[in-house]
Amino acid sequence: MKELTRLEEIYLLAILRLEDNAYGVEIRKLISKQTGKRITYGQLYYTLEQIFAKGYVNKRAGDPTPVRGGCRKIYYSLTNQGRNALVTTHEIQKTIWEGLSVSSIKKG
Amino acid sequence: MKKGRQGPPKFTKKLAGRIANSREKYAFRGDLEEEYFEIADNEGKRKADNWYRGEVLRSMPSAIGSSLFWTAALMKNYFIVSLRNFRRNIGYSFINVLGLSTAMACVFLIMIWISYELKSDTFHEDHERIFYVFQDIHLENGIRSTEVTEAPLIFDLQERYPEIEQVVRYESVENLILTYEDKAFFENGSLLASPDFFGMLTYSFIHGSPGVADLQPGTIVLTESVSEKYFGGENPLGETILVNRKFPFVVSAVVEDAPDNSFVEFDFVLPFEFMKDLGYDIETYNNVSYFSLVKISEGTDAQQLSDTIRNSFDKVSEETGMKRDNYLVPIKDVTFRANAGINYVLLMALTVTAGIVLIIACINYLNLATARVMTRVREVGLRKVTGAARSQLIIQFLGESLSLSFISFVIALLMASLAMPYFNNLTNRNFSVFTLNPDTLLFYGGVLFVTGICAGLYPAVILSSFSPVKMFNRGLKSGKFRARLRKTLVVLQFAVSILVIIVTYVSVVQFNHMGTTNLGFDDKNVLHFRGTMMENFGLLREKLLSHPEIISVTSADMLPMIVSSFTPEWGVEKDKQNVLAGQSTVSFDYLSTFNIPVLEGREFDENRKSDLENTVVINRSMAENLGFDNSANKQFYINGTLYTIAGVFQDFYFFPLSDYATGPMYLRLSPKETENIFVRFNPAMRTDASEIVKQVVEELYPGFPTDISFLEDYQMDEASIIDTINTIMIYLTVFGVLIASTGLYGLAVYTCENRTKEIAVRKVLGAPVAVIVTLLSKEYSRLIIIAMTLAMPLAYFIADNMLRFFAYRIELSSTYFIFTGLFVFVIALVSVSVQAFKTARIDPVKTLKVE
Repeated sequence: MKELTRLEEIYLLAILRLEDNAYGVEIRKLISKQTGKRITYGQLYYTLEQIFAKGYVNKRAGDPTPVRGGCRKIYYSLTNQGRNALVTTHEIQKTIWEGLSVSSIKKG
Repeated sequence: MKKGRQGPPKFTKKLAGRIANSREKYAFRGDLEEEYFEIADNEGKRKADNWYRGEVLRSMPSAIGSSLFWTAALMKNYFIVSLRNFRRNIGYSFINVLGLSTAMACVFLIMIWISYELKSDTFHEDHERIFYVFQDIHLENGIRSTEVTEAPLIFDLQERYPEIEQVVRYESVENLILTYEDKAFFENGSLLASPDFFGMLTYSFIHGSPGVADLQPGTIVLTESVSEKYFGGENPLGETILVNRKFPFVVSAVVEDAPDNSFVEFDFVLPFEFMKDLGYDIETYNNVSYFSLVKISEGTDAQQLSDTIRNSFDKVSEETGMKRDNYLVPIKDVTFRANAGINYVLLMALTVTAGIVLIIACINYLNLATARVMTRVREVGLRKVTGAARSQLIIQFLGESLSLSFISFVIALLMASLAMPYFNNLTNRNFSVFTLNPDTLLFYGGVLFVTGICAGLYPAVILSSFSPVKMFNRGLKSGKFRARLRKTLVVLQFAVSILVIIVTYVSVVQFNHMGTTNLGFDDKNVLHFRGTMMENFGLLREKLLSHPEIISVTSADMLPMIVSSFTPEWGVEKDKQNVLAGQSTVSFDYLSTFNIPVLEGREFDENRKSDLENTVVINRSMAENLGFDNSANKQFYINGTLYTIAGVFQDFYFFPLSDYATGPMYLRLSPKETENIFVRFNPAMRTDASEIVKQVVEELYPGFPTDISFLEDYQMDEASIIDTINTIMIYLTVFGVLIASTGLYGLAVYTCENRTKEIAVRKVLGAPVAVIVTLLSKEYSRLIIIAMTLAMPLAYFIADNMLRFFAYRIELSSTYFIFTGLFVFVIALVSVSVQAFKTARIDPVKTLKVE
């Protein structure tokens, strides 16, 4: 089973949360809010392509709207592979954090 | 821009479009625009614009990274597809690669050689300011240019033209005997040079230095190899060498051997003044055999100076009474412009041939690639449909041909380096494929690139231009066009092959002709040795003739095929100017020893004392020129003196093989002035004769170097260059033919393959195999005949012009054309027939099922 990198994990979870609304603008907003870092569209799409290439997500073309200057939206959704990877990652996460709590990490 | 609402800044928007990750270009742009409007609505246009610009700029690195990622993926795909293709057509691919490699390897070898030769003499410091003085001699039948001049010339030039900074003169004298302790040898590599020789020309000094090597009287400068020969590894400075067993010279310096692409060749250097001691006249303008070099001052326009000299310097003409123009030739050009140098034409011919071989290989590739175009049609269609740009397709196919070119390149390098030892042997040089300098790098790169592009451009362009619809339709129209194209390429390839084969065939025969052959005198069964300084030749002759194995003995100033002395002043009237006549100085029995037929009169006769005074024997050309009915006992003037003709002999060929291959020539009798001794022996007693001569010589002249050889073994420098080029041409032709043949075969295969359906249908309709084979063969033959009609006239034109360079040339008979035509025809026909036969035998069921 494959383990996700941190970045991949963040993106996949974001896409999961956004459900049917998982497209560029929204994904970016969500992730920026969650991580507190501003990611550019360049970085965004680069990573989206990577996870697409790895088979974790599917793309679906949406309709063009005037607001977008006539360009299409591309919606992303998780594949089974992606979901499996998330589960695996979560389990590994649980294992490595087992028994530790946040307070035990911060000293005193 | 949209109506109602302002859009994002136009320039940045365009930029965004450009840099967008190539896959989701539109989503990227759309997202940006959507967010832009959000911000514009919330915070105003200004903020939005700034945000937009910033966002695009900061996206650039990732965007580029993304492009690279996908480009890499695409490249990987191209690579896999290429490989797959290669494997599928492994036969063709193999032919292609092999053909290209061989052609490239040939080109490499030749170019390495030529670029080396072209750089001759550029190693001298300030070589752009160093010039040889040449002269044009105006004769009755034209102008003869020569690189040799008269001895005092340079001083007069220097006096008259202040732009001349430094002058040097030199001459080579053959057959000097050098002696040191017990070592004595005849040396031919002498140079007698004026003191500034090492000042003007740059040589590396191993012992001593330029200042000291002033070529003062009594000093000698050796090259490394000569020093080895006489002194082993020891430092010879200060030691004394005897020249001609009489003249002592002290070694003042040792220099590195001159590079072998240099025009000036020498083994050792003596002071120029020594020429006087050897009996040469260096004060007057009577003798034209010296080399003159000048170095001009910086900033002087060489061409202008040369023209000035040509127009205003008349000293030579005044002194000699013959019209002569002097001019300057840059030292780096002299190897090619001198009569005694490498013939430029030959080298060019070689390059051109090699180039043609390469072109054949490329045309091969083009042919086969275009032929296979159809197999890739569906792939291209698919790519186009899924969004490939035309430029991408072109890149794909060019990339393929460049990779193929690269693979061929690597193999070619390997082939060239394997062949290198043999090539070095042939050219008498020491090359390595891997000596990298700007020239070779540029050159290798060039070949690689040009081959790849030339060969691949056409298929690339054709393929990318197809419209997907047509592709899937397999329309008949494109079929016809393709067929016509293919046919044109076949014809072209044939034509080029025929051309090359004919031209090289002719060249090879010509060179062969020049190299070997019946020169008009019999050099078989004759021993030769140098008798410089041997006194009492009469006694030697007597002793030799006392042995029954020896048939006759004679001597001359030079070898029979070499004439180095010419004069234009001869004829029935005194002071008449004429074509240049060659002169050889001989002793008795010359003509009989060499079995040269006497046409009129007689040879020099020992018993006639009068023969020793102003009597000559002339050749037929000279007799014809003089115009006597019966030349015996007639008289005419040579250089102002009256001579009597004793007899007329048959023309024979002598070097240099230029305009004087057969010209007028006469023999004058003066045994004392002869140095080369020739002994004709009974062919049955070859080894005995050799022994006898050795014995007699050692007996009479103890301590002289004995260097006895068979005259027929004599190899001239010129002849060996010609031999080399000869051999190379043969190889090139063989390769060219091979490559062309494989190409033709491949094409034949393809032609048939393409028509399998047609053939199957014909079979089904009842045509027997024989008819089908004939049909295909006939069509192919038509193409060949067209190619021949194109190529032959052109070949004739080229061959004819080429032969004009040689005075001593072969006839351009139809044999060459017929033979070549037949040869090419047979090959082509055989390949088509074989292939047609194979295809015609295929069960139609199999072929027609594929749909």
